[in-house]
Amino acid sequence: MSSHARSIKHGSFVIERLFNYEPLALFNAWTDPKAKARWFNGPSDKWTEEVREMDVRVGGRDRLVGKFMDGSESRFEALYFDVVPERRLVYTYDMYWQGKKISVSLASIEFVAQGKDSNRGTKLIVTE
Amino acid sequence: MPDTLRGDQLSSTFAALADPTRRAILSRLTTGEASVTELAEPFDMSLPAVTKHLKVLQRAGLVIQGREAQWRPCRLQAKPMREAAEWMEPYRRHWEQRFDRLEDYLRETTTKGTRRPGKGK
Repeated sequence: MSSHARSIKHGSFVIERLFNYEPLALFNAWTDPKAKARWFNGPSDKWTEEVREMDVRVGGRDRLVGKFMDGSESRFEALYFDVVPERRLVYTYDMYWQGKKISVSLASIEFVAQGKDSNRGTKLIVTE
Repeated sequence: MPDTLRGDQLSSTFAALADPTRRAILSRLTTGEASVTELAEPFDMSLPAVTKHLKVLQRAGLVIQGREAQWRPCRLQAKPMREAAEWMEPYRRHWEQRFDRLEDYLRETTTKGTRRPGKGK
């Protein structure tokens, strides 16, 4: 840790949810730019998208810039480390607020097939 | 460690929680106060080992031990846990809201692959 940093906090959390859709549908929602734009964004009543770039492959980057109603700017920049279709995404991301870096995170997104036949679904596990 | 982080309550709380025995002790204390002997009962470890874990919980302010002679009951201190939960809440809520929107998106666009009506958990 640098003694110049104002403060450093490390945290880790896992969030899971069971979806009644197959892993392919979930994976597409995370990797198709048009699809991801529909749900991975700021609150629609307070936030406007300005830049959205995606390059989902190992070494590829995402960039998402938006403006809140009060004029403040948020920026999300990600770098992919692991991309396994219908199984897993691992990326690091930096969050910027008004051009200032506010956090650095490592995220892994797992798509775990659940059930069989007419009861198939996906457990989505986000670990940060 | 920078001076600003010394004595940081949140760090002590999370460090104290980073152990299954200590979490089990806390969980037991949610049902009411207990003596050290009572707390040690379910664990396959010596009384001194359990006492050591209790000391960590006490230093972090998660547990206080009464002064009553003899049985000196341990009690939960809610405040640090509440602060830790409050610190984590925005992250959880942020993802929960995203998952809600993801679910809406899937419902609107997918016809194949829908297995059951209604929301997932």
